[in-house]
Amino acid sequence: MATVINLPGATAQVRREPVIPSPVIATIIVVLTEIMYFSGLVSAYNVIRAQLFGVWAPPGEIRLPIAATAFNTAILLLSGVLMCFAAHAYSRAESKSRAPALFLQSIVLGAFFVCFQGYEWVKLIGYGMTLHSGIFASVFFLLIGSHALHVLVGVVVMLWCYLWMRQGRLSVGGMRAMQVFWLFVVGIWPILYRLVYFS
Amino acid sequence: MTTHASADHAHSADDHGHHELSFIQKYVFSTDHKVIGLQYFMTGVLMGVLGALASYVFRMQMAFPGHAVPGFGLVTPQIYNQMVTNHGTIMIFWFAMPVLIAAFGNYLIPLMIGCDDMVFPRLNRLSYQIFLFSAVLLIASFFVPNGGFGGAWTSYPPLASNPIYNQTPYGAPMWLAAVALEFVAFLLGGINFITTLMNARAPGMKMYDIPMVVWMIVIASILFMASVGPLIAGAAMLFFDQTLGTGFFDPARGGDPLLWEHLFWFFGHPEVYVVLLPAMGIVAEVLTVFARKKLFAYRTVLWTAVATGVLSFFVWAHHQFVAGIDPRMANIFTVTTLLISVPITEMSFVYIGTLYGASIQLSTPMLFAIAFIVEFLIGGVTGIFLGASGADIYFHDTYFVLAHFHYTFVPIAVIAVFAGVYYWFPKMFGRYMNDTWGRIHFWGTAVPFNGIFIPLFYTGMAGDHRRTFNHLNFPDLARGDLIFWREFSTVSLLIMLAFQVIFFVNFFYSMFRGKKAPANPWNANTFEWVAASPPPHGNFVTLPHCYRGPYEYSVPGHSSDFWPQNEPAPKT
Ligand code: HEM
Ligand SMILES: [Cu+2]
Repeated sequence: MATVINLPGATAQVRREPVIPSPVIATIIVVLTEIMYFSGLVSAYNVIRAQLFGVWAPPGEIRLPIAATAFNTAILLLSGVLMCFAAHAYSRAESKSRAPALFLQSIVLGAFFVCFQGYEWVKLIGYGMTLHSGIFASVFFLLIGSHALHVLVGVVVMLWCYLWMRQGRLSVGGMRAMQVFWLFVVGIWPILYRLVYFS
Repeated sequence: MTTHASADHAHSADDHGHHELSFIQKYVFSTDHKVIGLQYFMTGVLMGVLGALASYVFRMQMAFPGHAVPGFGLVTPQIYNQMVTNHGTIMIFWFAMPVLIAAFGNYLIPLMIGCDDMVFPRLNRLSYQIFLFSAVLLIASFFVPNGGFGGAWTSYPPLASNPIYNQTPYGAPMWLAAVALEFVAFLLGGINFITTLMNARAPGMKMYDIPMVVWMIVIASILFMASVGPLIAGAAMLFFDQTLGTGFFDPARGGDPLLWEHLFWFFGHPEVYVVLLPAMGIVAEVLTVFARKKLFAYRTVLWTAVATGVLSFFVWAHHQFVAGIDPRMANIFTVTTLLISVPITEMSFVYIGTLYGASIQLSTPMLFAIAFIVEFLIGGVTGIFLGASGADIYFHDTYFVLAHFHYTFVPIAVIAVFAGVYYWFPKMFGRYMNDTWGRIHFWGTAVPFNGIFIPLFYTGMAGDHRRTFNHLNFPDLARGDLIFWREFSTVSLLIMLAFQVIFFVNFFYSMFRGKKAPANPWNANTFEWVAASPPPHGNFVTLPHCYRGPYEYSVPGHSSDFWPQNEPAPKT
């Protein structure tokens, strides 16, 4: 049986039954690259921290909002769980109709996460913590900002997928690919949270 | 693995492109993998020519310091640095990678695995467009105030991170942005290569039936993706340091300049295998066809390549032996570096094993393929000296290092690429390149190449530092014999460059006037030779089915000395 993938742009004939749909493979490759990118950031963080021999975060730095971010972390994790439910529902004929609602909830929570974080950033900058105010602030904005950028891109792409889902144009493989990406974005967050906020 | 009955592989290509496409649609905004491959090829070669011209300028300065360079003018220290920096950058990122991986990968992978296009053709087109934009951005960086970046292709901070030091407030960030964009282009391309190989292979094509060049390009893509992430992280930090004035690499503000070196070389060393493996693949195809012999130890080659790839992530600090790393770390990296020469040697021996007892046809592509092995061995052997940290304290950043890596890169990016071009030209354009001129071009490339770099081993050992603008400023280096060998090297370069004109004339002449070639001019086995020359949009009339491995040459008992992968075994 020939499987033709209906992701936009995917037109080559696939003459074997793929073990993993092409969009999912593509996303897994992207995610692996991203994992290496964040590993690079985390190593940079550790190297720079080691430079200062235990005075980290440097005295006089602004305290990061640990508790509020814990709440925000929970929101993001919930978004990831809902995404799994949505993708699971979408991949079965009998529950397909339930998927859009779950998906939308997941997107809304993701959007809440970035907005909340943006609000925190505005406050931190108001207290004088900027990209220039010191090495601690620089790495904070670099690491957390990189992640926020991923959430932002994730939310936009998810909205796009959502519209397609409503129009019936989103393949199951496409939805699974979205799930892989979003799980990555959600999954890496607790690591960064632990690393940066509890140092 | 699913194998399907005839009904399935009768999917013909006739639903493709029978409507007339305009020139623009066909060649500029095409999603066809062959067109994209050729676009990458042409752009890459054009950039390669720019890189070669840059080398002309700074080599003239090396040999005849202070004299105006004919056709260019006087070389100032700033211009010299810009030329060296952008020569290295262009040759690696805009010539070797696009040609070896993107051009050959795009052109060959769908043809050689028997499908009609990449799995994501539009992503593929986007990849080329981003690549083209990055090339334009790099060239544009020469024309901004203060000119292009001159801090070496490795872009070490604090020189690279601070405009006060590098004096190129616009050129440096533009250089960095261009490199980053180029990486994005290759990520998109790599996604396509891997996914296409996994999901679009012809039915019946099992793991060990995949032609070696396809494996090598895909493994190289995986290596690239796995290593580039940390460099992108570093590039982001460097970019902020350059443009926003952060201090990630500034020790005075709590940063660490060595951090960049780690992030860069963590990518930089796998990168050398990213370009090496595709070249090894091209050479494997050419060797087997013109030796009329099966590739010796196919599985060994494949798994050795994988092992090399894995090992290459653990050797990076051999570039930093004198950078102030912990000496205990230097010990470890000496061991891993010497270890990695084992698989490389093994691959070279396996290729020589393929030649053993073969009926070798010394055609132009074959000459280049054999030259690749011979010259690359010199590069590998000198790497061992550098890998020993004790010796490297002396050799580091001398012309010895420069000669070492040119003995690896030139065989890879020039000699193996020529082997591939002469070999696949009949497929790409339906005509042969002229063989006599090809041979003249071969000798005019291989001999002067040694003339350029053998002397540089010597001047390097005598103490020539590779980032020096004018050696005559140092009394110890203003010696007559060193001056002679610097001039010898430059003259060899001029000869080698002159002989490339022959190649270009041959290439473009043969494209339109060359002798017409049949679909399978070399009696080769792999799928690309089943398609017409040049292959139409959609590649195959009937998509092929795979019945055997790619290197079944001179099989005892078979009627001819080759046995194409798509031919069913005769019923007995
Ligand atoms: C047999 C395996 C190899 C070994 C043991 C080896 C070892 C080394 C060492 C130790 C250095 C650092 C020298 C120094 O800076 O003081 C070096 C530099 C270099 N090698 Fe190799 N190498 C090997 C293969 C290759 C290959 C296959 C390539 C390219 C495709 C390559 C490209 C380079 C480049 C570009 C540099 C210089 C980088 C720079 O400083 O700009 N090497 N090699
Ligand atoms: Cu290396």
